[in-house]
Amino acid sequence: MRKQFWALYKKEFKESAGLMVIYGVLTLGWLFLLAAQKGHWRIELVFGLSFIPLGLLPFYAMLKGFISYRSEWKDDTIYTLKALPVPGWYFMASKFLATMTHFTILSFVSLGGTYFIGFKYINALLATIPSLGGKSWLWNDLFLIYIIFWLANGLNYLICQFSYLSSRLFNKLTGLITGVTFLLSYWLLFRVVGFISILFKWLPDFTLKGWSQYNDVFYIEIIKIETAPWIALSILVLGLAWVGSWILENVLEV
Amino acid sequence: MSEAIIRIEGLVKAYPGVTALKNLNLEIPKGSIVGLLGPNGSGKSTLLKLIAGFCQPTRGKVEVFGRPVDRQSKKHIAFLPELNHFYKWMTVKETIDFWSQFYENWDSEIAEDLLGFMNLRPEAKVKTLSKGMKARLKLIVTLARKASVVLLDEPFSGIDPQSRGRIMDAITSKYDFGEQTLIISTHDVLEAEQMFDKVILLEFGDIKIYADADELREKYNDSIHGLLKEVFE
Repeated sequence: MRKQFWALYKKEFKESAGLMVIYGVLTLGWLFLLAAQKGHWRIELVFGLSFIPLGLLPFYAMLKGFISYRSEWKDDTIYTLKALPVPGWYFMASKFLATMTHFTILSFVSLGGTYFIGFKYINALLATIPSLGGKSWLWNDLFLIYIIFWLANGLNYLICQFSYLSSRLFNKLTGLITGVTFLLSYWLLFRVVGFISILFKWLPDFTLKGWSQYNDVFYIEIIKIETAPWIALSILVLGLAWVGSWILENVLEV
Repeated sequence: MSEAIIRIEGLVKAYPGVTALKNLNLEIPKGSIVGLLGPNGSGKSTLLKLIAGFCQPTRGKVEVFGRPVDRQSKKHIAFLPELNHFYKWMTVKETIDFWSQFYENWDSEIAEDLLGFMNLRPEAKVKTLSKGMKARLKLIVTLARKASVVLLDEPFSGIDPQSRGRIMDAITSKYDFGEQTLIISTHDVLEAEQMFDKVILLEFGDIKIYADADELREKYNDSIHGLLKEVFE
């Protein structure tokens, strides 16, 4: 079974590698352009603009969520998937993991470039706020923010995938139905997540350190991130993804 | 008569605005070679897809090995669709390797043999293959599995005579007589009719004739091809 999943993962990874390379090259091109402008443009501007590739990555993941199955139907390769004696969630999980591998690689390229461009600026900024006590908190916070960013995009990808699969239950207007299902899924998830998260209230919350400046005085702010809603949302989205996989395996026809 | 490997009861398949199959009842014995014949739109592909588990009956049931078609049955059913269902960016070798990962009954020696016999370059990309070459590749992937049930949907459709000959030779040389059950849907009856043990004639989603091929030839004193012309023209 592991061999079959690995074969599907490799297939998905290679199939989308072209798009990842294009995005990666565009990201590097953009970062080199900004690096070349460091002496000419204000550093705050260069630093801010270097986040654009990272900011566009959620659209990359969303696009992949919508088109990963669409291309299987468009190219008739859905016949291949329907012939394979594996559970539907293998397809969902292999597509998800391949896309999120690309997402991780691209986000590291983007973040690495941003750090390269702005590390002097970051250090200078940190030096002005000594009350925060060194840099280790920053890395902890960035790591936590990245995990949330990754998770949010992964969950969004699965909702896109589910929306497309649901639309295949109908013969017409699949684009419109995909969009409506996508919005309805979010509406439903946000209504239900509150109830489910009660079950996970016992989990410890995370905190981020922020700061604000008032009259040249820096104030440390503690931002609390609740774990329970994220766990509840993840479970619900995984449930939706499983339903989508079941539909693919047992209901959708070619 | 040997046991039925495929049993179909009261099978109806309807799509919006059209009923593709109307109350079909059928038993196909193990080890037989069945010609599934009929004009366009008669329901041949739909029937094969139902047996392969690619779509679900509207009513009635399809059983293979005495149970409804499910994920487990797919291990033992090899289906060659009429469409090209391979990933265009893969090479011939990558395609064969990919498929080989999923089936315990995959026979690498047969795949190797067929690859040479079909005269395909392993490093060639699927997107660069001609229609005939793609048909050959489809047959390799289908026949390299020692599947109990092999379903071929229009394996000769739109293919040059040379490829047809190769495909026919491959089928006859790799078919496991008595063990594998083979159903071939085709318009090119002349090409394949010598192989048929049984013939199913479908028309407008209904079975017009289901009989032994030899009996039919004897009864009508004609070839299956001639019989088809008589029935449908």
